Amino acid sequence: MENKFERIIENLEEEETLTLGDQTFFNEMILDESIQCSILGTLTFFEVDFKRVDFTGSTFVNCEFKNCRFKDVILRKCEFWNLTFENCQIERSNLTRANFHKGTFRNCIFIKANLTASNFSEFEFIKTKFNNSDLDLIGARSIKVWKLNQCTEIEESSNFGYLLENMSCDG
Amino acid sequence: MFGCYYTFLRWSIRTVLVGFLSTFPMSKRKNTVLFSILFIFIFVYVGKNSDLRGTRRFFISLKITWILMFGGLDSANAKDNPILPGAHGFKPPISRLNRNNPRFNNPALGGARQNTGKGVSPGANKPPRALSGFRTPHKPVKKQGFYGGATGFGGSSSGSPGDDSNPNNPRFNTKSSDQCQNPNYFNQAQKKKKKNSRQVSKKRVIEVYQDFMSKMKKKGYEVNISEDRFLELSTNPQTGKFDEKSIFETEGGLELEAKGMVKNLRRPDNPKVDLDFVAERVGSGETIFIDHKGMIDFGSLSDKGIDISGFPSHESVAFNMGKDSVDQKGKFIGMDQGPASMGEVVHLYNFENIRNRTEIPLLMQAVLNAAEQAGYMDGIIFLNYG
Repeated sequence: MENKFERIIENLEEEETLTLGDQTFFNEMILDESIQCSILGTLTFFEVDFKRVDFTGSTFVNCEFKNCRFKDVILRKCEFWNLTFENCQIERSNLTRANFHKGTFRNCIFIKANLTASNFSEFEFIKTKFNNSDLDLIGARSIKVWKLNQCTEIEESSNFGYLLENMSCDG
Repeated sequence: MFGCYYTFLRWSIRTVLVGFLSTFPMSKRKNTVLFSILFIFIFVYVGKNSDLRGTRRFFISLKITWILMFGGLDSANAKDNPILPGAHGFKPPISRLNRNNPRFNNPALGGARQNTGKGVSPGANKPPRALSGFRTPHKPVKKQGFYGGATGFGGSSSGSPGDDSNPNNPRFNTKSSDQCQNPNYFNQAQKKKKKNSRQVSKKRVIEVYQDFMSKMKKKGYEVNISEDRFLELSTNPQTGKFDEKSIFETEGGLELEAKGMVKNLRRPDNPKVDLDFVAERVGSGETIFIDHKGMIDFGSLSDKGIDISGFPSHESVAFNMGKDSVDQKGKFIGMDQGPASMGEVVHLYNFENIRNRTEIPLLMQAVLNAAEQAGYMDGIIFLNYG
């Protein structure tokens, strides 16, 4: 197996920002990388495990994450546009002040993740759970939260974390 | 007669020793103390009950002590004897391991690891198979540790949002048999941690500092910012390391200082007040909080042949930034050492990455429109719009 993503990072020039698009990564392990302020567009990650990867300040546009695992990943101050997370596990990761615009978390689970002061707009949460996660000061605009087959729409909230905690349980 | 006496003495002392050893785990220091006590006892005993004197008494006492403590050991058992100095680090061969010992099979506790033990699949190191039946590419063993080799695709893609429950997804079953056997499993890859060459170095920050200073001079600002201060502000307060995002924030904050709008720019004292900087307004001395926002040019992706037709427009990104900022102004109000009102939070917008300069006024307008729509238009400063 080749770790295509890691190889791309290794081939970057010193101080070069990672700018990447139109690619698919399958069955890879991305470990111990610092790729801050990256620009990632139209990428599909399928069964990719991220561990101790620092994406601080990165921008993700039109990306799909399916069956991925994030562990000790830093997504602080990242911008996400048109994102889909499906069957993903996000564990012990830092998503503080991350901004999510248009996208979906489907069948995802957050474990001990920190989403403090993050923002969601035009986003959907489907069967997504938050276990022991920090959900303080989450801002939300035009959100849909699905629990079983019931949908709750939230037009605007500055304390969305409280709603998430209550609505995502046992979903 | 002497033989019986010697046997009895040796038996008594060894009984006492074994009792002592079973009560207290041995260390080198205890061994030495025990040996010394025994030696003194024998030295006195020999002095009272024999004619031996001087060095002969000393050496014979020493020899008796030695024989009493270690005499009965054969060479194979000696390695496992806790009394013997230097035997502590010895790992017995697998053939001589006590299988009831929890250290067995646990490298973290000094035991040898086997894949054939109880609860361990003999095929743990074989390539994993996907649930669908096809064989997935084999991940290197050193990296399998994070999910125990389970690479099966858990999604059933049956349509309903509730069909794929996470706990049933084999990829999320973090307790694989292999991991359960070895509590240190996750650390194995960590031990082999490569050096991350992409960490921002001090040299890089100094280079940015020099560029920043010359840029400020070109703009006609009189700046008195030391290299040390730039380095300090460019350190991520959460990680204590330099990073690109912190450097970007610092450049914006210090430009505001160079413009003579604020002074004493620093990171907030309370880390929960998650805004980039705190400073004092020049003139009024009012404390304000500053957050520096930048925007990337999606054109940098199309330069690399990446299709950006489905991307949001720069204007919609700017509009969202404007809306989010109003929300952010209110987030930390009332926190210890945080802003008291929205008026104390200033947002800096930086469009220097936007290559088409004619776009910039439109982006500025988009930010203002969003702020107006969100109901709060104060505390907006645009950098690099000239």
